[in-house]
Amino acid sequence: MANEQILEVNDADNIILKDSTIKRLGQLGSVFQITAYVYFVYIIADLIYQYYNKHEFDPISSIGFFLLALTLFKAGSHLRHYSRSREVEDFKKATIQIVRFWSIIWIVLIFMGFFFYYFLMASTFVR
Amino acid sequence: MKNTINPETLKPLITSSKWMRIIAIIILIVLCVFIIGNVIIYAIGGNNSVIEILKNRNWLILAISGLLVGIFLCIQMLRTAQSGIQMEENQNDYQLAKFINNYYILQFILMGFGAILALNTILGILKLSNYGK
Repeated sequence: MANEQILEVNDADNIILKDSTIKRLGQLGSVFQITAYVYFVYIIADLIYQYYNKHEFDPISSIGFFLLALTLFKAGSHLRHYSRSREVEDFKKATIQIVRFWSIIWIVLIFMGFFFYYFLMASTFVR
Repeated sequence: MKNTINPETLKPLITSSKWMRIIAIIILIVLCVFIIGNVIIYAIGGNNSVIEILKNRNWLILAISGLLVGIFLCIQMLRTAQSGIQMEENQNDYQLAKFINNYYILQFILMGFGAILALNTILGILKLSNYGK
């Protein structure tokens, strides 16, 4: 069975994944961290842009993106750590960060949507 | 318990998948309402449609590509969420591997989205600093 081929059983009966899956989780963690770095670059660029162009001052989306980047970075770091240590606790921590990421997206989406419609409606009424 | 993944460990992943599905459905609904609404307003000749504003600013192609990426992102979110939610019933490594594969693609789209945003902002800064000279 395909399922059993990639499974391993340990004595403690904890999470039992084969090396290949754990390695892939570690790689996914790296992708998480690269995405976080990209977001950090965007946040810094956006702050500089807002400094130059004060009409587009939007601190809430900056904070939202910072929180998203932070949770992504933490999730990536825990996943990478898990791929090295094989401790279930690290995997748990990573999954909790992933849940947090999708929860924070709510806030970012709401505020980004709000500002988008605000600026769009403003430009529509000016016309 | 042998040859199965501890359900408690996977619980947060399943929860995140549920969140992901809700968010994807909401974004899809908003995108559809936005597109259909604006096409209707544009078709009946309204001057205030977003299409008209974007057309005047030469942003229409950019907006259409953005919408397409948005729809693609939603579809990938739904696929990832689906494979994550299925772990509730099939708690095995195969299902987790499927989830990881889908998450890879989703994460690359999110990274691309961030990269485009960062590039756009950096270009904006360069444009602003040129105006200042």
